[in-house]
Amino acid sequence: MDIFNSLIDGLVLILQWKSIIYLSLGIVIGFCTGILPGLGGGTALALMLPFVFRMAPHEGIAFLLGMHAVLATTGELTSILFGIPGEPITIAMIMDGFPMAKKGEAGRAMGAALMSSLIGSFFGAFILIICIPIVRPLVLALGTPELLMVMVIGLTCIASLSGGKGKRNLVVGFLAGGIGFLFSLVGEDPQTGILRFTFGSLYLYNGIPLVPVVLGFFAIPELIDLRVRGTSIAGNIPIEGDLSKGVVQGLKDALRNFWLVIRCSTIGYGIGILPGLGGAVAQWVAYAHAAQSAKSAEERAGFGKGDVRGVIGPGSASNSKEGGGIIPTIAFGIPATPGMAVLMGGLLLMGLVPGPEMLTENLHLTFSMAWTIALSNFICVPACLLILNHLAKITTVRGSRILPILMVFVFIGAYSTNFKTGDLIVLMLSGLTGYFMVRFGLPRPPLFMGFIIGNLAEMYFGRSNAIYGSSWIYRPGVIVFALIAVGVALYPVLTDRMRKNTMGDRGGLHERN
Amino acid sequence: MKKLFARVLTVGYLSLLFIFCLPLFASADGFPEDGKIIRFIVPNPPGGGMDLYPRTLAPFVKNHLPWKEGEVIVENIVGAGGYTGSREIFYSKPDGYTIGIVMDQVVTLPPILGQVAYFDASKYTFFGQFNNFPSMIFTNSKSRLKSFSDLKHSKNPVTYGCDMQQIANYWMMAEKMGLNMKPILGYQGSSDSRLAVLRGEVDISTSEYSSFANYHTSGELRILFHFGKGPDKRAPEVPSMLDLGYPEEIAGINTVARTIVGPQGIPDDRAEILRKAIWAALNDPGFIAICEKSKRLEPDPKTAQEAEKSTRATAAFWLKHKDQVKATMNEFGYR
Repeated sequence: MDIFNSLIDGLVLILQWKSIIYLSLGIVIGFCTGILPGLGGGTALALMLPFVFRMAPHEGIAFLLGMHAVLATTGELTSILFGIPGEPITIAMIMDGFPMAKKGEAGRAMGAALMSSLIGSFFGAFILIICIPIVRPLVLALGTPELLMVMVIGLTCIASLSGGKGKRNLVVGFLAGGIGFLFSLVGEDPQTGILRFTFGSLYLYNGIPLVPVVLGFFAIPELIDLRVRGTSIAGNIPIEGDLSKGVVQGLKDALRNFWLVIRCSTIGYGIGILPGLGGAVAQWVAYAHAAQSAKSAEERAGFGKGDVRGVIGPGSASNSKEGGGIIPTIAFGIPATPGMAVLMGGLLLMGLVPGPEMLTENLHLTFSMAWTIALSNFICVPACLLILNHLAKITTVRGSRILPILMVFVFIGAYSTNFKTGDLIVLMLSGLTGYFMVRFGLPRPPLFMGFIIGNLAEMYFGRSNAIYGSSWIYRPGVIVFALIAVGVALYPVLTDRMRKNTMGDRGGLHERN
Repeated sequence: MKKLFARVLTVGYLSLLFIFCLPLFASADGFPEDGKIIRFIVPNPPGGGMDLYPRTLAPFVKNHLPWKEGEVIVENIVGAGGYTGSREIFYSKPDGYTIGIVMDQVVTLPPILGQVAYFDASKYTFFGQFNNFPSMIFTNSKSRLKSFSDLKHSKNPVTYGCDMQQIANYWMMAEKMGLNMKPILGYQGSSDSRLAVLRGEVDISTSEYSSFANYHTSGELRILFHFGKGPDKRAPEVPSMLDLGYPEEIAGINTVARTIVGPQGIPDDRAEILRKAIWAALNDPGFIAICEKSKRLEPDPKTAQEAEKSTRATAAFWLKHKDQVKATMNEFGYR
């Protein structure tokens, strides 16, 4: 009953007129920040912190979380339109979203992304509400070895991220993943303090920074391609007049794949509640799951070339993750993303200290966060739908006109990571690597997956061994996650074999008939 | 004609030389200039304690400076565990328009151990300190360690969850206090290692009180002792190193000191203006009210002299024990 009362109290707090005004203001700022390529939401949120000094906690939550919640949603639009991640957590959206834009289906891709985001955010908020009583003990039950196994599950996704079909792609995918893994090891060894491959540079002390790599790896190749083609993003495909139809079709696509949305939202939420994993992992695992869900190897080969399910999967995960990410932030003070870190700072300034009381005496405020996530997307998505047609038209503008603007944003986005020349060097080197990988048909997602998972896996492995020796392997949680990892790795092979058997049986029937 | 040309050239050169040398003769006159920006560098990412203190203080520093208009802007320069930004402050132009916050442990130990390029942290221009609290050693309430005595007499090695920056705490406990310890490295900051203690994954961890106060009051965490010199008013029942009979020389070194500094060589008159403004801001009722509301920010202002004294003492201590700390680190594979 107490929980129900807190739930209602949380909603009442958010529906007060002042909260609604702050929420709307946050949404507008979040929309503008999210849609600009490469400009991380964390910076924008930090700039807003002085404004929350005198706000009541629920007003500050509405303002900051409203802003944060729409960042992923609007960042997805940039990923689809330009092939440039609006936020580092919306990279997987590029894989199929941008190819769709190139095919003149930008409206459809954005419609599907927005609908899956809306459902994902509702799902995340809903699960946050119903799981409150069990989620803290659950997080405490998952120790370092279990987190290591989640990383192993992520690595098994490389098989699905390798693209195409056949053993060659798989081998190349794992090789790329291995190279990404090695790149992630640059910097200070968490176990010994030894500096690896830093070449005496302070810049590489904490490893190669993520944002310039993301922008270089995914944005630069697309910008070069746009310049080489000399056309608009959508090529010469006439899409005038079909835009609104495409948006509606995209919305329907998301509803048609409702269970995929739910499954990917579950993945996003599940990874979100695990402290320290960050947002980038969730969307790639969701993308890999969407690719795995394809019924045949041929269908799977279509991923990365403009399959709408490749938009729906990461779209749902990146938004449901916000609901999950609140748990480690408010219950343990471990933010899931840089944006969440600033949000936590804002909560501290307003007198809310992360800890057990956020799930007891301040439960109504925690629920008001869940309501804010749902409400902000409920407001933002329809607002986006109103302007989608105009946004989609950008893909028909001649490349030479938008290229300089995009270049400026990409370079500013990369430079704003550390404000160091090194950011630009990393941007250009990873851009060059990305371009040649595209040119020679090598898959980029496995390399990137290896890069984001590598140092986490190493850290968890070192800690598990130091604490438990080799006995961590026998922990029940580890065994369960290991079985899931085996299942994920074998799923495509097994489904292919089962399908072939079924088809063989039918073929046999045909022959008998 | 030739002579005239030579004269014009000489006058031109001298004028240029005069203009370029003007900053060298700069005095406090007109400092800080109206409309200028003072950068407040934070070596850590936005959102954490190191960021929130300056972000809260900046508007008050602006109000207490003798200018009509101008801005104090917080700038996060992160990397290398806070060392990149700290170094940026040290090597900035000493004109008074760049100040920053540093943590004493970060700017004293790594340069001495050779982990990063050396600079002498005691040569910063000091402006004051937000606070200087001792690190506290805490354990899970359900742990076998009920008191410091259990910790001291533990036959099994006590696992200590930490990151590389907290290795100095491990060294102090293992080498100087003679405790049977096993460090578990690789945690990402104090929040991560605190979670490990809550999970029961490691026996103990260390942090400054305000970052785990609510877990202490809720009864989930128990404090065993702290590295300070006397009782801490926030948890007076917790024994300090001195209370436990350890020598004064090693007490008060392992602290979390949030010090406000500027690059070395800021002209005295300018430094004095900044010191006055920062001290007034630290004691401004508006700033104190925000901190009280936050429940997490706990300013306990120290003057520039006090800040300089504590940083110098910490740097001197680590310089004296450099080889011993290095030997301990070598045990983990660090070279």
